[in-house]
Amino acid sequence: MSTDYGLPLPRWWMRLGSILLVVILVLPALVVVPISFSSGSIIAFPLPGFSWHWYGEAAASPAWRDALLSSLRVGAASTLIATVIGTAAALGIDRLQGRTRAIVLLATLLPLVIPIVILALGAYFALATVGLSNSLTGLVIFHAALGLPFVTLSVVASLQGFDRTLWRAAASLGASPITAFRRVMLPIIAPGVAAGAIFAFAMSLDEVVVASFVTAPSQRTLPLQMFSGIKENTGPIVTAVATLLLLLSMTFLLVVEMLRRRSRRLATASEAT
Amino acid sequence: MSGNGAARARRARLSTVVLLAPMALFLLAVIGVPLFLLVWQSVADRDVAIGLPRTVAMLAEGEGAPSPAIYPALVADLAAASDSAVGRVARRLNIEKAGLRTAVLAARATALESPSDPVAALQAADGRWAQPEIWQAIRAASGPLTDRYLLAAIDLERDAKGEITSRPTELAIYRSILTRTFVIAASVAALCLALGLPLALYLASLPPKFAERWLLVLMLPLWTSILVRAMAWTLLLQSNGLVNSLLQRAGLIAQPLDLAFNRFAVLVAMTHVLLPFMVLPIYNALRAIPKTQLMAAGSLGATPLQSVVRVYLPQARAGIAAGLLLVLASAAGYYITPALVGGPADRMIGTFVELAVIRTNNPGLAAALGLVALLLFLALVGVLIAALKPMRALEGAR
Repeated sequence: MSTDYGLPLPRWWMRLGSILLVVILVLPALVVVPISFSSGSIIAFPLPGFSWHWYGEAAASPAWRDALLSSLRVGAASTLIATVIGTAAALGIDRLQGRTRAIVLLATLLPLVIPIVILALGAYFALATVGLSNSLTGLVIFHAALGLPFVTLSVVASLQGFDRTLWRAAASLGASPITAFRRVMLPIIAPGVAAGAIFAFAMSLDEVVVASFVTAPSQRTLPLQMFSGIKENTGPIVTAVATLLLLLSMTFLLVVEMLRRRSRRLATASEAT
Repeated sequence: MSGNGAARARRARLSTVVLLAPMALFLLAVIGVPLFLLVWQSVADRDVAIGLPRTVAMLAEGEGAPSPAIYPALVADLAAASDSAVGRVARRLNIEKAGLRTAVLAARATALESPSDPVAALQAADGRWAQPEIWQAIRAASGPLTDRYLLAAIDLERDAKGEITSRPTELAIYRSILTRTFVIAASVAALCLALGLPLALYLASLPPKFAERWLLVLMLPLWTSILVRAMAWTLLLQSNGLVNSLLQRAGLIAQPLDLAFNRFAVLVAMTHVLLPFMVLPIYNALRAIPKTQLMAAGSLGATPLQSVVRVYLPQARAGIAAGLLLVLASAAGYYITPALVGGPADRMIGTFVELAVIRTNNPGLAAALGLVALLLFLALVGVLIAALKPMRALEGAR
């Protein structure tokens, strides 16, 4: 059993513990699902009966609809900015080597390693200075900053499978750099770009701290609306929205996994040529 | 030929710079500028000097009680200032001495009527304009720099003589909140390491194909809204929640346990949220280490535990450091989960930063609290890097 090297305890112990841990990681979030179908009006077990009532409520409520629209707009705009800047940066990083490369990669991680409340407070001051206080525009800028590392790292990873000779071949056949990028490189990095963009969008859709610092009370995003729904205990309507968000995040995960597999296939195909 | 090559290299370097420039500028705008403003706001004290320039100039001329000529100067200042400038003066003086906001706003209303006798009009508008304290407050707040916010963030203040003293106990809350914040963050990081390291070791021992399926499942909670998970833990842990009702039905407990809205719930929910951030970097680091080294250690007589502790983990230091850093950063700055699943004694520094800037309109204190928290966080990161030396591990790997 050569694979047992690297395990401090017998394999089946480690396996049992790992299974237990992953189950505990995955299961708790699902507890909101049954409550969202409750026919009662308090968030508690046991459930009095089954109903779609809270989904109807959520869809009909202007507050939740506005919050969803705000979040989708902020998410789309910030994802676009993060994707453009992050993809360009990844192409730049791909040309670097050694220490410079490591330092630039670390710099791209900055938005993730600064405690979020400090970034949010700084954002509050910066946006006040340029007159963008209490605006979704300001939120877009800082969500783009938080999404940037995901895009950059995802595209850098997809570039690792890219065979540079393809690029040179395109150039030697007379393709301009832009054509070569569009026809040769883009198809190969596209899954990485898309996966990074989905990450960035999902992050924006779940971000509460910066949103609570820089938006006006009238411009609640979906997470802010959920936060106040949970705090003020407004009933199972929050669990209905939470269930929909769970479905959405599972969809995101599956799409990203498909993209990742596709990217790896493309990379191996380009290596084979 | 060589000239051509040099030109091509220059062009390549230029395009690298062009590709990286947008990110560099963007990071400067969204990280550099905000952090600079955070530091500036924690020491800046210019609101009163900008709003009341003549008054501040007159007060600077002499110590003690001001001459009556200061009243017309104040009226001129308040009549000339914009609404927002007056608002900032009122906010700042209210921080200096609680309640002064109304005195400033009353004086502003009076000033706009251009009174013929400023002294009588101001003192009639608000009796506090007859007292020396209000002028002392304006003098103390005339800037341009102040250490009062930074001192307040660590429960200190200056007394009437300018000596630094402790704040009264009812105001001296921030040291304990900062301590609590970092105790919670460090506990969560330790729990994540204790649970995440064995999981990463197990995953790294699997063939990559199987390990990837595990990782996919591990990513699932990472994609799940953090609010949904906080709500889920409340539903599970509260006194009529799932865990208590299951335990009661099983006859293990008679009374529901106090599981929610306390430190226990905070640690459970935060560890749950941050565990994947610990596992993923450690797993990646372990994958990069050749298994043959472990076989060698084994053939030289090391027990499995010895070979893991002495051979395997030291080389995964960079991954462990990255995991600890990510978890610490997130735990120190993220106050939403404790606010939802914890009790009043679990509120972290973030809650108070938000309170200061959004609710009590005291940006200077918020900035000082943020700055002190950031410095403590950086010190913690420094200790972490000194202890684990991740850069040396990275360079050794190359």
